[in-house]
Amino acid sequence: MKKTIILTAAIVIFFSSCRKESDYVPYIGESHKLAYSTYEEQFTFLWKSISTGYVFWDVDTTDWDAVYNRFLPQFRALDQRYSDSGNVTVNDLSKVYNEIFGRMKDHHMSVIVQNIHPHPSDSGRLVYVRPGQIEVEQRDYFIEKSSSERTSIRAFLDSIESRGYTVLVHQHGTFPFHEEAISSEVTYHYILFRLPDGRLVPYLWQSMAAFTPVIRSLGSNTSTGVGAVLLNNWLRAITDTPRSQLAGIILDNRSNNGGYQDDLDYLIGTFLTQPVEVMKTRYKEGPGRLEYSQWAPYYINPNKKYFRDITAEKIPYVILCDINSISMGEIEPMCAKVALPTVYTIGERTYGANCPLQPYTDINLNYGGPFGDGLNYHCHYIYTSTFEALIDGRITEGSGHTPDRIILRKDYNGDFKPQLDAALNYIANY
Amino acid sequence: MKRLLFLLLLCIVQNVAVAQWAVGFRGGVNSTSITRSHADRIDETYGNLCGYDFGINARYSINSWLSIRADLNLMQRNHRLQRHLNYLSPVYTDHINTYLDLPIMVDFSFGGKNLRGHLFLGGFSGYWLCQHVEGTTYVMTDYDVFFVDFNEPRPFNRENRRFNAGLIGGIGLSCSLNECIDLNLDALFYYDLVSHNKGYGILQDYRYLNTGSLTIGIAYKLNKKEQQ
Repeated sequence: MKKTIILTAAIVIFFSSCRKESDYVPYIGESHKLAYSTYEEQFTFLWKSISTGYVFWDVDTTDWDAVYNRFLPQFRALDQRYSDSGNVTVNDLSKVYNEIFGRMKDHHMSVIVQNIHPHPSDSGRLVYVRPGQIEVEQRDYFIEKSSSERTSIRAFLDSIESRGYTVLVHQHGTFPFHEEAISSEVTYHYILFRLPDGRLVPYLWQSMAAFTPVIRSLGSNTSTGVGAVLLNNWLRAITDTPRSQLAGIILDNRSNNGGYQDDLDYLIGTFLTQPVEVMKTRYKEGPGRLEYSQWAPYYINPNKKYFRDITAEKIPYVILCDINSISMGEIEPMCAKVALPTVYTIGERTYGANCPLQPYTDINLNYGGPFGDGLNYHCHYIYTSTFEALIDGRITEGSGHTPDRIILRKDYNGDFKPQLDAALNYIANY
Repeated sequence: MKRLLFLLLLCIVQNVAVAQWAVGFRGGVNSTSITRSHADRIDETYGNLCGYDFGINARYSINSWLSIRADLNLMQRNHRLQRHLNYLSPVYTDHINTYLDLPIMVDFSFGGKNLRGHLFLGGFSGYWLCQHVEGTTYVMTDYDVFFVDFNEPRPFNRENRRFNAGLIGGIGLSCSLNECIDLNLDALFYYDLVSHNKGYGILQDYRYLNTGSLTIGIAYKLNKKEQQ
């Protein structure tokens, strides 16, 4: 019997050594790994972090193992070249990193990598790769312009009275706001159009999605409070105008580069009688590429302060969007289409950055998302986002929202007017 | 050498002459844990979960102290992922995994005629039939966190390895009620040697299941007369 026990123990010990040891599997963006002295270390850190923390592996077709096998020798060659001649420039790194990240699906992704051995010929030390921007600029309706699109649309709206519209009210301005650690500013144009038949159309253009932090300042004696009054005026024009006088509503999200998710409770929740499930969301639950949490529903709730049942009253709600509608700028029309039957979207297929970003300090909540050393730029700074899909299962990351009616500004020399005309005509004939 | 082989053959023939078959079934509970890299995820722990364990078995006795036993088990091998980061502490996922396992064990027995102890040693292979998850997840907005319960099947993906195999060992106690019927109490431990995730070529992250099982069963001896 004793022999049997000894034999058993020996066999168990022998076979227990048959379990293989895992490689060291980092979670995305371990800060203590940010210091490196070679290009190979820099690449390996990025590769491993994206491998474990990128949220789009089940929809992104990039062969990440092939990326490692193909590019690791190139970074070793750069290390060798630096060792031999000290001659590695930002341009050299830019070529390689553009090949690595340039086709990835995440349109929020922004890779900023530092040349760890600055070269005298470089004017700066940073390499920038934005895969979303690379894809968007290849679309046939992308417009190359000298000034920013947001400057152009502001100029168009500044001169709205001279463009043939009947404008009863036009309030606009740029308003600072502060929310936790974020300080920024947002520009609004609230216009009350009058149609030829005398009915009214409250219109709002927002340069970014910051409705929530601004309107919370309503009643305060600050610049933000002035912006809140403007937003309150737009909402009150919608909720208080008699049905016979209210032809429809326009929200203009063109060149809106995103912002706060809670804005949905104002821009959609104002028109809801009960919570509506519009999206589902999930996050990385482990370092495996396909290891996700279970989908959880995302609800938009009725707004407690403003309310009009535009579904029951059959009031058309037109949302304008274009190729420069990014993140919340495109999530808003997308969710509005799901939640409200009278919503109609006009413009261009949007940018395609459709999943929310959490602050990079929240990396330990989601194990995905922005990581690096933040705004210090000493090492690098990368945005990836957490994963959301529409409630019907559609995943629009990388492709964006396609409006009900497509009107391309490219066909009108970049003019913003035809899309607005289409919105007003749709409402007038609704 | 020839004489030695002849003696060995004689011994086997003699043993076969007294061999008997028994068939039975058993059922009980188990507890499974998972051995995996933690990947420095600061607020996640991986804990044990209980599951059911049912099976049928066949035993072939070579002599009074040595048998070969094969089981066919339908068993759960469940484990839990729990978050701990302050306001995320309600978040957890219970992984409910159902396996069809086929252990083959050598059964060394000892003791009296009616009450015998057993020592099992062998290996098993299995197939991961389905997985189910239940727990609580969260939705984060700009200002709030909401918790959502879930309880639903989870489809397999290309990272899941559905075949598994490993070692099995344990102890048991059997009590003969009469010439035909034995009651069994088994405590078995399943030690996987095949990772249940496939990993990738560059970054391997092996995950192994460990299951302790406690079952009671009943066995029916098919050819008791030959034994007598």
